[in-house]
Amino acid sequence: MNESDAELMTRCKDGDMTAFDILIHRHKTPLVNFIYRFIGDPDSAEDLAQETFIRVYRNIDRYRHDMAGFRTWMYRIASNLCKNELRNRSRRPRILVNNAIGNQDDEGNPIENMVDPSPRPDGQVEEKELQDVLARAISGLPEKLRIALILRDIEGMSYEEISQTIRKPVGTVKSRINRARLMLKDKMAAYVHS
Amino acid sequence: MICRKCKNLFSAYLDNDLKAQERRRFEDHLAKCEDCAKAFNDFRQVVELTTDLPALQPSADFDRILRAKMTDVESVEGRGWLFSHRSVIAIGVACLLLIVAAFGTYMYKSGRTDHQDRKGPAQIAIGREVIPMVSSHADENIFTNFVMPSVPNILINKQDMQDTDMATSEDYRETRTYVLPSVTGRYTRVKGRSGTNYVIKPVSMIGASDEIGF
Repeated sequence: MNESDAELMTRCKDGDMTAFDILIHRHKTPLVNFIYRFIGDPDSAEDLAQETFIRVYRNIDRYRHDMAGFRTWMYRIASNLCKNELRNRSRRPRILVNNAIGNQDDEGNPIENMVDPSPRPDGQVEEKELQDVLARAISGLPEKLRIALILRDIEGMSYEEISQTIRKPVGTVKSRINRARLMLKDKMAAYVHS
Repeated sequence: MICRKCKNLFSAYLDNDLKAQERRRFEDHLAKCEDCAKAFNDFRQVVELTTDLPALQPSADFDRILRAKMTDVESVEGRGWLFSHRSVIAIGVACLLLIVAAFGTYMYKSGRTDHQDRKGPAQIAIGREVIPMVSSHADENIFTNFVMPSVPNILINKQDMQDTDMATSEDYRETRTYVLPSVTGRYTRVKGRSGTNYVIKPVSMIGASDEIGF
């Protein structure tokens, strides 16, 4: 029988670490993916996901399932960590040595995603290339729109869950998602065909 | 429906968030407006591409590294079982402290914890005579029901005493405080069926608020 997140959290509060292991196993992949799409860096995504779980663990007693769902609570912690990370990156200029540091540019964007946005002369776009262009386009969205889009279209959250996560009214969430998708459509105009 | 309004409804239509009448008007507009129809088609494709983006899988070391980090947190912050039960432990410690404080207060008021008593000798000097303490509670230095065989002689010799206070005077009990040349003390004489008993305690060993009880 699958226990709900709230039930597992209750067991965690009683010191049952196996319940916390189940929560980690259940949420680690979508959480890493959410952070990766938010900040565009796979290595930092793992670090921040682990930090998110640690903060969840440290604040177990503060969690009340009648106030928020576990998932929205956890994603709120994660999105705050992501915002801090991006803010810190903008404050500290990074000197990049491509081969030594790896797959990031000086803005922390994965180099593998740095694809020439212009379509190839033969008009053919490989699927992987298309995904890279799209990922880069998502990274280029304004932060407020990006988080709403990722939570909706990548994490599959409902409008209400997103509203709880980012603490904005549902109407604001809907508006942001529509604006994010429209911006993304314009960025990807050269790659989609009507 | 104008085109701008139509574009604002792209997400709502895609997410099935439109009422039937609005949905019909939206579809009617798309049927008539080629630009909006193309824009919506592109819009839908991008949303589908986004939804289908492959998920980044955590590395094989994810759990191991997380466990190590959590162990560090536990060692630094004292987490673990004690952390998870800290509220219960805090309440328990608070209750224990309350019980100890209440017991201490009770013992103090009942005269059983006078530390000065504990330091006091098992004898008392009145005038020039040293009277051995024969109280059954001498070890605890609670000088109650003390039988003083030679008291009449001492008490009679009032030249060595100065009566300063008479606290109580009843048929069976009399309490007075005397200042003697060698010691300031208080005695209580009790007349009972078994004879006359005396309870003596030097004021310096009693403490300002102490009372001799029976």
